[in-house]
Amino acid sequence: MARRKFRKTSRSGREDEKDRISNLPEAVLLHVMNFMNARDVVRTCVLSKRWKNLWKQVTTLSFSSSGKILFYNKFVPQFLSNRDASTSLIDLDIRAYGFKAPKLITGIVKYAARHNAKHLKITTEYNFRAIPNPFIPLIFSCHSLTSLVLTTCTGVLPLELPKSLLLPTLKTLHLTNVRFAAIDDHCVQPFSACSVLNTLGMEGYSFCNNADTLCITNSNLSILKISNSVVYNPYPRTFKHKIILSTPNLASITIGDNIIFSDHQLTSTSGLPFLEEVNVKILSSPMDYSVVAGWLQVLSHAKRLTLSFRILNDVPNLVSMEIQSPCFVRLESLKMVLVNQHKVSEEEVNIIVRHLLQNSTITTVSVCHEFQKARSLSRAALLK
Amino acid sequence: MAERGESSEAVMLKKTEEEKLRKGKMIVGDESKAGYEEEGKKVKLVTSDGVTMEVEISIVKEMEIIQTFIGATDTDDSFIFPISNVSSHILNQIIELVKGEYDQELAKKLSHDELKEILVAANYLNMKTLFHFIATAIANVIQNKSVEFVRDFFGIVNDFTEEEEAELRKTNAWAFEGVDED
Repeated sequence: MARRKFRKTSRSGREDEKDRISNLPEAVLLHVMNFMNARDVVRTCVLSKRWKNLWKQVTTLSFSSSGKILFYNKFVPQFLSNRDASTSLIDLDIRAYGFKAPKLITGIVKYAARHNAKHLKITTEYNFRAIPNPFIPLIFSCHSLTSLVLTTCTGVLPLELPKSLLLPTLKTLHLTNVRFAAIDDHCVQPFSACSVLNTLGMEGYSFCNNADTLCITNSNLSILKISNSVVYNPYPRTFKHKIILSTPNLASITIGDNIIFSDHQLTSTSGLPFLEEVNVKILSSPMDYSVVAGWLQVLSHAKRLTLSFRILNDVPNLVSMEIQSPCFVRLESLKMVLVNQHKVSEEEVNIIVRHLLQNSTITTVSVCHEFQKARSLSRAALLK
Repeated sequence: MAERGESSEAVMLKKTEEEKLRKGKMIVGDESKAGYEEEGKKVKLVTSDGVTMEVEISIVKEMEIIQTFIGATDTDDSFIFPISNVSSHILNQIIELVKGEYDQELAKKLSHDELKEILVAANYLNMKTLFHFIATAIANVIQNKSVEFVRDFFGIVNDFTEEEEAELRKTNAWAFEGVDED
């Protein structure tokens, strides 16, 4: 109300406007600064006296060293030592490339661990297999961490992570192009110690040495997204990987695809009783329908299924192949997204629907082409 | 969930998502207690320029300041809430943004004054998702801009003497050197 009174006495609209903005509480200005890159955050110190020390209370550190590694090598230690040490550094988004990157990231993670970091996002390019990675062990000393995003750029060797990720406060984890040390000759089981993990995303993971089985073991996990983009992969295409889901509380799973992913065998130890949502995306290379049907048998507790694909092989021969239909007893909706509508005939869609819904009672199926609105078709129309 | 290249937007998207999840849970809790929850119901808001606007309850739900009122009063359809800090023009913009599910493309169409007004309004109405969204949008506008541009954007009067500003740039040279002004 005080502000309103003040507005009435101000002389012009423009001045009024200025008053309103410069009267914004510092918390609001800091909130805007939390979304800026670190360099610009510090540069606000010359705006006016009010702004001189404001940046020191910003709780984020976000920058990309792309082409500016020398600048950030000098900048980051100054930023950390000049900011207000009693203010937490909560959000970190660090993109550091080149051979100086590990040292730079190490300094930041060390600081973050002592300043209540909650959200840590590291994107790096790490080409030196022989050098042990100094910042990975430090991440596990961040006891306040609730979300972690680790990305190694595609095209370089995956970042190697330990056997077990000891992150008991972590709720969200996204990993791109990483691999894990194996617990024995054939198995990796990295997530069982993340006791409150809710969301896990893995893209372009690789296995280690001879390990051929990825055990996703976590009693709390609710959302899982797993895919393999085109990345460095030392295995021949015929190598068979296995994924075992021991995730009794899983509610949503998204499976993306790639060439080597088509060879993966998916199994589950718990039957996934709480599964609600299943998304399968076959977008890059063609895949055999039988492989997808195999996954869906494991995911048959789904309530909602979305199947997006460009090409699925072997669909016309499905009738003669005797592939077991998934037993969708709880299914409420089926949506098919045709990414390349010219490559998929209506007949093929019908065959897939008939096969998927053999053991289900749902009556409508929605079919749409990418970027188009779904049209709902009655099952009878599709099956005629 | 699309992974975006730009950090701030990615963070923003994530936050919005988390916010929605959190809200989703909260609403479930609220519904069991309060009976005001009705699909399609509208709430009357009077803006700073005296316009009475009927706003869908789903949007009003995001305005925590009004939620406090609703929680404290027995509401019926005739109840009118004054929002003395928000003009009808800005309220319309806010409604568009909420309906557009906070698409950053929509923010690009807003003028600098509108962006600032919405920031003030989001803070006043205590709309958390909008507050994140508009802060991100403003950060995107002033990112990589000159000091003069940012001063002009916020309407900041430079109260440093030339010598003071030069001294500040010197002591913080690590943040200013090697940077292209654009």
